[in-house]
Amino acid sequence: MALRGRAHIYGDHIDTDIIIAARYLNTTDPAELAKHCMEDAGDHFTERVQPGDVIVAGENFGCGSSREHAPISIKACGVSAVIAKSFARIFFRNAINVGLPILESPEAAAEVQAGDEFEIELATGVVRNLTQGKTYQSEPFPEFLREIIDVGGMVPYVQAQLSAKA
Amino acid sequence: MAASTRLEALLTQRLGRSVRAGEVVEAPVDLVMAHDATLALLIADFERLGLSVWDRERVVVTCDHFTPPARIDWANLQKSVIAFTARHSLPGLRMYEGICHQLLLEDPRVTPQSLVVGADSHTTLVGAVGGFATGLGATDILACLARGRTWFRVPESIPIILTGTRKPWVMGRDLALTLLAHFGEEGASYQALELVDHTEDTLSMDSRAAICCMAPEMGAKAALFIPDAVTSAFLAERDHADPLIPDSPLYPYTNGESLQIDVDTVDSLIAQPHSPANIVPVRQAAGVRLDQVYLGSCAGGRLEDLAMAAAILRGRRVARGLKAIAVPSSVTVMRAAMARGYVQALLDAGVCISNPSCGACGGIDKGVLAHGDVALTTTTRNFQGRLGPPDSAVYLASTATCAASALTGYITPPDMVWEEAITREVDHDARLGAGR
Repeated sequence: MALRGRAHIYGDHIDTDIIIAARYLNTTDPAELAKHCMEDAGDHFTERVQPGDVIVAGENFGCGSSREHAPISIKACGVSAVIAKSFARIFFRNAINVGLPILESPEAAAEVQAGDEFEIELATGVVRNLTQGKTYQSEPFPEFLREIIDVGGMVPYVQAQLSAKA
Repeated sequence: MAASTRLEALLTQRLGRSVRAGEVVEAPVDLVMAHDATLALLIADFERLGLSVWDRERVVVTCDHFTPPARIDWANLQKSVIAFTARHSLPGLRMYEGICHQLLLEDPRVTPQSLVVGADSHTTLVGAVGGFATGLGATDILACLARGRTWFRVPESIPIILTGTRKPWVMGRDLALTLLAHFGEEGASYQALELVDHTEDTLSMDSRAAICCMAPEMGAKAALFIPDAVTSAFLAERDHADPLIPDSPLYPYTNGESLQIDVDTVDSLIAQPHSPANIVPVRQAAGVRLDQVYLGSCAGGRLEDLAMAAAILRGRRVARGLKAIAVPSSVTVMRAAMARGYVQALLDAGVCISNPSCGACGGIDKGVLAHGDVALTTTTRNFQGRLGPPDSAVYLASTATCAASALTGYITPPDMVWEEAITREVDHDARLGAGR
């Protein structure tokens, strides 16, 4: 299955307080968290984002807090994937666990222009910038992580393990 | 083949087979920690799946982020966390006793051999006693609560050797900022810091905790101090028993870079807005006018910090109109600070003492900033909007720098207000065990 959407561009070190500020940790409701996604970036992201869109960012995306509210709020905005030069380690795990596809592609991140249309194949790690007609290869996930992603995240994964045991 | 890092050795021992950096392993954990802000996220899924806790005795749940709650929605979240611990009969609920990581540091179950995971990035603090501790998100913690194990990519370790003699006002926090200046926000990404303390006076456990706490700001997965005499003394006092510390061999550290820091060359540093890695000498930021000075968080607020603040502020007053706040990192710390007169000295100087908690560090609790405020804090992060609105600004520094600046109302290098009497008081406190 290919994901398809337009790019919203962010820089390096986009931290979890920018993605979802601590003052909104008063709820665990994805729809509520989505309303405040990227709020402190000050670029009216939630007014511009369309279902399927992708975030394309620089280095160390998601650095800072362990708050899972961050990938949840991005996913609940309708964002289909995040492409970055690199991800912070807890955000990397959290994104997999909540089923938000993420891809490391320094080249795609370096060459993107705002509004470029992307197509992404998760199974192969192939990233296409359709607007510029360029194709990039990102590292596909190792097999044990793909298992978690394939079943839709860590919760269904644990559920499957438990029912297999029963 | 012998392990080349302490983390390889710890995981090799734990899994009963040779473990190397770069491998992905699944490992059993000793303790799982979650707090009121992150546990709330996983309760619904945990119970919908009909899961049960793998070992009730190995779970620590803290109420420290909304403590006590100032808003109805936070009170509701905390209520759900308290109710969860009741439904699952978890004896490890710690109500308003202090910051989760500090409580782990004080917990006799945390040893140099421990593997601890927590639903909070600063869980790395726990590595101060020598084990492997790291932060995970809520869903990873959900799986750990149910299974008692999780997966890791075994990190490469960066050895950091500390040598030399500290200036009396240079604290562990200044060394953490030294490392941040070296690594930047991601220079240690996915790696572990293994610190060897060969300094003349040795760093206290409090200073070690401050350093390990700041590891995620460099992207690191973990940080630990190689266990030594300081570790033994700390454990002996904490546990009222002779600790079992095996000799730590000198690991060869065949992978990655190494770093040698001569602490003689380190003076007080400060992280400018809006990044913990935006480091300059305090001198270079001196004179910036402050609206607030805040002592606390898991990166400050320990006994050594309160001792330093009391030594600098005793018999003096904080600047007029300045919001000066101190939040001890735990009830144990606060009790000791009261017994030794630090709390009295801070109150006399005009500092507001709040209850042990995460406080304003996450922009959640008492002490948040107003529009346009400039604050100097000992907290963990100064990302834009971290302690208040996006147009507020936060500088991060040691307790000594914060206390000196509280006197003047402007960012002030601690040596500018330093007197010989302060050195004597700090040395005296250290001999009493402040920060051990």
